[in-house]
Amino acid sequence: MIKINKFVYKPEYHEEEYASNSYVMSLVAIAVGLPFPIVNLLTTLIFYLANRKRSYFIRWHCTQALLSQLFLFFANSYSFWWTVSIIFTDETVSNDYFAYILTVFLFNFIEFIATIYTAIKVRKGIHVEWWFYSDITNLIVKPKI
Amino acid sequence: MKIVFKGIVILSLFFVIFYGFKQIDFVKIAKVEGNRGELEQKLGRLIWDSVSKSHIIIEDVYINKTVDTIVDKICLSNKIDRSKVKIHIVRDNEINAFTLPMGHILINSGLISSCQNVDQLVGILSHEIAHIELDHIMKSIITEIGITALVSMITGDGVIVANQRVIELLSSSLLSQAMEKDADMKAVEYMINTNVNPRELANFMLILSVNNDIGILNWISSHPDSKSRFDYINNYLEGEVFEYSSIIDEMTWYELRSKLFLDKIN
Repeated sequence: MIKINKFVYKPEYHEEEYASNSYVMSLVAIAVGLPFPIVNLLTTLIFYLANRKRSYFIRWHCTQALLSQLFLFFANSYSFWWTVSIIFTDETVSNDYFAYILTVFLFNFIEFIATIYTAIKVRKGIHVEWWFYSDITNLIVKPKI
Repeated sequence: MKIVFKGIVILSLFFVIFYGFKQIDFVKIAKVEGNRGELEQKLGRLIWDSVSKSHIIIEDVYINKTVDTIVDKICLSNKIDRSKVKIHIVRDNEINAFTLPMGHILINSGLISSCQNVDQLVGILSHEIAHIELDHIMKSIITEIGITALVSMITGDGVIVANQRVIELLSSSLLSQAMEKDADMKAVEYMINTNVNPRELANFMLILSVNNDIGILNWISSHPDSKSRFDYINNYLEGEVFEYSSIIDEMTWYELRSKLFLDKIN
């Protein structure tokens, strides 16, 4: 699901730091993001917007970090509103609810581990590509000519 | 194309895992139902103890037997476990009826006296039974008070105060209007199955809406507007033709009302 590829150029030290920080941002937000899913997306989006004019390496990793949050944003939002409806309406906990929450938790956990791994690797200048998300990132982010 | 395929794979993986987890009976493992049932039993006992001390329950055999006969017929016709429903007639002129946890239904004598015929009483009883069958009471108490407060109320010192709060809520505005509408529609279904004219439930609402200057209509104040209840029940039944019969004869109905009148003046 995660593969290490050679980037088109050797990133500078400061680029590695910024690129790695884009993953760290989503990690920091994940504790708040699980109960309030929008926070995850917002922090990564703000970081992306702040760095979208920087070098190719930074832009590429900021975009991958942002895209990876999108899927979880929808999944977490659904679980958030489902929980709210259980607390505030006559909806009750069911096997479907437990199954959904566990599935979402599992995906969050996998992403959490993958994010830590990627942040460490990117900090060392190693280019880490995520399955599916890297393909979209390659479509969106192009090197400046 | 490759990206779309990968996206579908991720989504499929999500749903396969979700489906896999769905096969596990988490509700049973977490003993959600068991804990809730135990909580309801304890709460039901506490509230009933408190209510039976603060309300005057009519013990007249004729009155109780007559109302029980009506409830028996509703339950039998709708395959409802009769042992779950416990009816208590309260000596109170207020037009009110409410349901407590563990299937205790309290009907004020004032409400029975305000019914123009037995079918209207069947409608009210069906409505309260519907709350039990639809599990509205515990859902609403948990939503309103919170599970933590409930547990501490049963085990801690706040028993008397919290009990009073639950009773106040149950007798006034605990249930949402959506729940009241659901119970109305379920009551209509019960009445049809019992061969009782369901339009009488709507007629009772109309009487209440016309006479709402009485000022003691607690039952309707917590429910959707009586006129709109009359309308949606009538709209639901529009064009429907059924054959109806009465659960108890006219004589028994008048005897019941006169007994309630005598109980009131005594």
